[in-house]
Amino acid sequence: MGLLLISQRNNESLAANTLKPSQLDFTNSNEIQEPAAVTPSKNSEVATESVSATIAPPTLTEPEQKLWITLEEILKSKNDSDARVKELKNLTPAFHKALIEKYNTLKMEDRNGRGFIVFLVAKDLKSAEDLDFLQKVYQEAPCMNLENCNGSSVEDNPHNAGIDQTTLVYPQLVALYQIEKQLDSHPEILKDPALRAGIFATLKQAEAFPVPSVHDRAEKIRQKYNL
Amino acid sequence: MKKHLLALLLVTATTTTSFAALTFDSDVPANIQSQMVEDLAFMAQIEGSGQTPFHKEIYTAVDGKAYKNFFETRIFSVGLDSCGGGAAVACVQPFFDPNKMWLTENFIKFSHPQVARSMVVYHEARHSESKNGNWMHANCPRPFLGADGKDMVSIWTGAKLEGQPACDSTYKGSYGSSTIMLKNISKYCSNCNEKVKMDADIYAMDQLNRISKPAVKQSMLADFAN
Repeated sequence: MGLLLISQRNNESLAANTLKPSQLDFTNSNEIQEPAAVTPSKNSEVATESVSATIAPPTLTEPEQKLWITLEEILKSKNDSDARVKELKNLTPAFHKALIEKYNTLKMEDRNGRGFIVFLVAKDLKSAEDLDFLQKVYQEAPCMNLENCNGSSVEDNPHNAGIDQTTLVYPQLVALYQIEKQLDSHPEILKDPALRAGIFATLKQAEAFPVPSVHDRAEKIRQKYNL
Repeated sequence: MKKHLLALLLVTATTTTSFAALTFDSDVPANIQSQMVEDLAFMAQIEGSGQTPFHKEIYTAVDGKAYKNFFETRIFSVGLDSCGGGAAVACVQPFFDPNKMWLTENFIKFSHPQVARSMVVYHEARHSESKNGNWMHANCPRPFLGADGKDMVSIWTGAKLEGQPACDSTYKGSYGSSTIMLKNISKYCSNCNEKVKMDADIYAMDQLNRISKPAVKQSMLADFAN
C-alpha cells in the first residue's frame, strides 16, 4: 500500500502574499502590476455531457452492459490510465454501434473522450459500419480551439502550440494510428474486399481533412500499403 | 477561514509512491489539485521493461520511482497563474521561482489526454534546472522546414515557427527530454494500457518536430530504435 500525502499549508495568507509571474512586468524593471485575473472560476472544468446515470444501452447483453458502465466511469473520470481500459476489447458489433452513438453525444470540445471512442472502434475494425464511422470523423469540421471548437482559432503561443494542435485533431490522429497499427500487424485484413475498400475510403477521406498532420499521415499510410 | 487541510489518498501499489509533500497554493482549485495529484500518481506507478540510452541518461529507468524523483527534486510547490494567457496549461518562471510550477485553469478545462498533460508537466519541470541554464529553448531556424520541405507553421493561424524560441537544439532540453520520456513509455511501459501507450507515441512524435538540428533528431530516432 502506498500513501500519497498532500499537505495544503496555510492558505489565504500564502495566496494573498504570494506574487504571481503574471503580476510582474519584467519589461519595466519588475514593476508590480495589478493582480492578474486568475481567480479560480466556479466552473473550471470543461462542461461535458452528464453521464446519463450509467444506464447502459438496452441493446447490449447483460455482461456488455456491465462493461458499458465501466466505459462510462472511465469517460467521466477522465483517467486514461484506468486499468479497466484493458477490459474493453473484443467488443461485439452491437457494442461498437453503441460506441458510435455515444460518440455523437460527446461535446466536440471533449477531444480526449471522443478520441477514446475512436480508439475503441478503430483498434478492432469489424464492419462496414465501423469504417463509415471513421469516415465521418474525417468529415467533421476541424476543431478550431480547445475551449470552443466552433470559435475562432486562438493566437498560438508557439511554446505549447504543438500539444494544443495535436489535441485539436486527436480523434483524427487516433484513427490513423490504429488503422496503421492493424495493417502493420495484420496486413491480411486487406484481402477482405469490403475491409480494403472501407480502409481505402477512410484514408482518402482523411487526406481531404484540412489539417496537414492528418492528411499527410493518411497519404503515407495509403502509399505504404499501395491502396 | 484559515484551516489546515490534509488530504490523504490511498494508492494501491506494490511499492511506496508517497511524494515528499508537494504544496499547493490555496487558490489552486481542488479539481486542479486532484488532477495534478492523479497525473503524478500515474507517472509514479509506471513499470518498464527497458529504456533507451538517452532515457537512461536523463531519467535512468522507465520506472515510476525515477519519474517521481525527477519531478520532486525539481518542483516543490504549485500555484495558479495565467502563464501568459492563451492556451497555456502550465509553466515555470525560472527567474521568479525555478522550483515552482504554475498551472492554469486550462489544466483541466482542456480535454488533453492524461499523458499529454504529464508531458507538459515534465517539460516544464525540466525548465527548473538553473544549473543548466533552465534549458531555455533555442530559436527555431530560419527557414524552419518540416520533413515535407514546407514551412513549419501553426495549422490555425499560419504563423511560422521560424525564429521563435520554441525549438530545442539538443535532445536534453525540455522538448527533447519529454519526447524521450514519452517515446520510452510507449515502448517500454509494461503496466500502461494501450491507450496510454498510443497517446505517448502520438505526442512524442509531434514534439520531435521541435528538434531543430537534423543530426540531433536523427540521433533521437536512432535512440528510439534501441
